[in-house]
Amino acid sequence: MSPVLPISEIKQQYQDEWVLIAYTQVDENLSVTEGEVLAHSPNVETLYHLLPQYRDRAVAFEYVGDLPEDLAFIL
Amino acid sequence: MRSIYPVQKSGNLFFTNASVARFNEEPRILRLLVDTGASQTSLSNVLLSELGYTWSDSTPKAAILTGNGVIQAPVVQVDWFHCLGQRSENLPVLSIDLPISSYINGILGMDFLLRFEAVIDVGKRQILLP
Repeated sequence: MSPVLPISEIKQQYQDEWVLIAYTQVDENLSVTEGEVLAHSPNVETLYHLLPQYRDRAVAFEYVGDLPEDLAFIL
Repeated sequence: MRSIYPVQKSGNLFFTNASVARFNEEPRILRLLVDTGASQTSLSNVLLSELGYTWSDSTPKAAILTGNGVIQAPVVQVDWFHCLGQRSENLPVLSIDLPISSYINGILGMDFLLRFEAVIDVGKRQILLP
C-alpha cells in the first residue's frame, strides 16, 4: 500500500503523466486534494484497464501537466 | 443565488471534473473537456468498457459530425453522473474513441450544459448554475 500524499506532492512526482489515485479527500469541485497513487502512466488507457481491480475504491484520473503549446484541439 | 464552479484552463481550453459510477460501486472522478461545440456528453469507449458497460450492433447509435466526417457512436446510459454539483441518473452518453494522448477522459457537452442552464464566464474561468 502506498502512502497517502497531498496532490501537490503527487503533481511534483508524476509530471506529464496520468495518475490513478485512490482519493481520501476531494473538494467541492471534485478536485483531489490527497490520496494514494495506485498507478501512473503516460497512456491513460493503461489505467482504464486497472479499474476492475479497484471496484471497491473511490478513484480519480488525474492528468499532471499542461497541454503542449503547439497542440490544437478540434474534436 | 447562483452556484459558481471554477474550471481548469490549459491552453485555450476549459476542463472540469465529473464523477461516474455504476450503482453500488465507488465513484470514478474524470477530467472532461468543456465543449460548447459538442451536442452530447461523451466518454472514452475504453473507459466505459472497463466500467462494465457493453454495447452491440443493436445498441442505439448517434451520428457524430467530426473533422474527419460522420461517424456512428453507441449511446450508453451511465448509471449515475455527477458534475457541477448536479447528479443525473441513467444519463445517456456517447461512447467515443478518444486518442490515447487526448489529455481528457471525455467531453461535457451541450446536453448537460443546457439542461442545467449553465453560464460559462470565460473571463473569470468559471461556470455558473442557477
